[in-house]
Amino acid sequence: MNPETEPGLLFKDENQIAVLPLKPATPGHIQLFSAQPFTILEQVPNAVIETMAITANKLSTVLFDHLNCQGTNIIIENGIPAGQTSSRFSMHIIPRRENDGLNFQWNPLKLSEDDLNTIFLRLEEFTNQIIIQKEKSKIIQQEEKKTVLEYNQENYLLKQLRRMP
Amino acid sequence: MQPTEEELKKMSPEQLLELQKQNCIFCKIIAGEIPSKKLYQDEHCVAVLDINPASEGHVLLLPKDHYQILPQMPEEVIARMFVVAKELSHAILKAFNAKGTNIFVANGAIAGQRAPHFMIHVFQRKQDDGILTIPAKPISEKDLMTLKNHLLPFVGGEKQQVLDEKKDAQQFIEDKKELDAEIQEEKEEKKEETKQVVQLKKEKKSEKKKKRKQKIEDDFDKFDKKEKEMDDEEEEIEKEEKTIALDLDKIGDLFA
Repeated sequence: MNPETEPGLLFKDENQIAVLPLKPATPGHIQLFSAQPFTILEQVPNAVIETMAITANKLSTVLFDHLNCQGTNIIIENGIPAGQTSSRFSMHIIPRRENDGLNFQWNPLKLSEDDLNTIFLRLEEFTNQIIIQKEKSKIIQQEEKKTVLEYNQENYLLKQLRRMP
Repeated sequence: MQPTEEELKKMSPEQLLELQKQNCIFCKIIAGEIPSKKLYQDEHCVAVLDINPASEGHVLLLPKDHYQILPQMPEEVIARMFVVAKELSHAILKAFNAKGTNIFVANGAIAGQRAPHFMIHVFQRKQDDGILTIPAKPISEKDLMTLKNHLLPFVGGEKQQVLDEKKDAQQFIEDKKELDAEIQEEKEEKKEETKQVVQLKKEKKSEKKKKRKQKIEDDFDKFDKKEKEMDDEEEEIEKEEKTIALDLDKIGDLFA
């Protein structure tokens, strides 16, 4: 599905597309898609997530100021069990008012201390590996490529030298 | 010691914020005054396991500084927190072999915010567990366009020229009625014009016919006249011949 062709298109730039969906949860529900066809959250590069998060914040303030809501929800549905319906990664920005018929509250599970400990240990293995790498700027990447080329050229010259009788 | 209601009313917003920070459970968790199971930490945010989870492995991601809602936070912190949320979701998927996760933010009590400290929820989902569903209710295209035109100027776009309110619709209907009346008048005028034109053509045709007829008759008349003239001439010539013949006879008689 291509969000650019939707009738409720709000704005579009190189990284993101904001759309008013045809079947919203409530009037004012905005869906912010990535411009490139990523499917799930894990595929989206960090720079795009950062721009989309800042835009989501701006859109929620617009809703708060101009659509008379008392609060907003920002929800990402990542995967089919999470309720993802579109084949492209999107963030939902939903305005909330009194008696709007929406309820995103959940019933918390009652887990014992031991259960929580096992869950914690299981997760810790993977969260300890999280390192947020700042993506290298393009200039540095180009310089690295240059050095590799120069090295290869030097190698070629050395090889020539060695072949000479 | 908690201040009384009178003291609360007298306090400035900054003092109230300070008071909130002092009483905030999550600020205490971040500071280490209350025990918690910390999963991730960096210069902007801290991730903690939720002891009242929606599902196994529910993580709360908190900013280190005390903020209540998303609009109050600096862009740098917002950006970093969503990237960390992505990494936490990836860790949860791997640790529990899950197929789906939700990232949930509540701004404001009416949206489900249960604590005065901003947080991002990251939790796993299983098929048909019913934890969170975003309903999809159809909306008329007219309402969609009104919303769109209402929001476009604040989002950096130009308004579309589409009918969106009842007033405009009524005006359009009235304008249309006038237009229809005008169109009918024009049609009638055209009909009359065509009738006139047809009549004129007919008249022209009949005139032409008449002219032709007259011409032919005139020609016949001329021809008749010429014939008559020629006949008259012949008669005259005959008469002359006769007189000449008679004269010759007379002359012959004289010589006999």
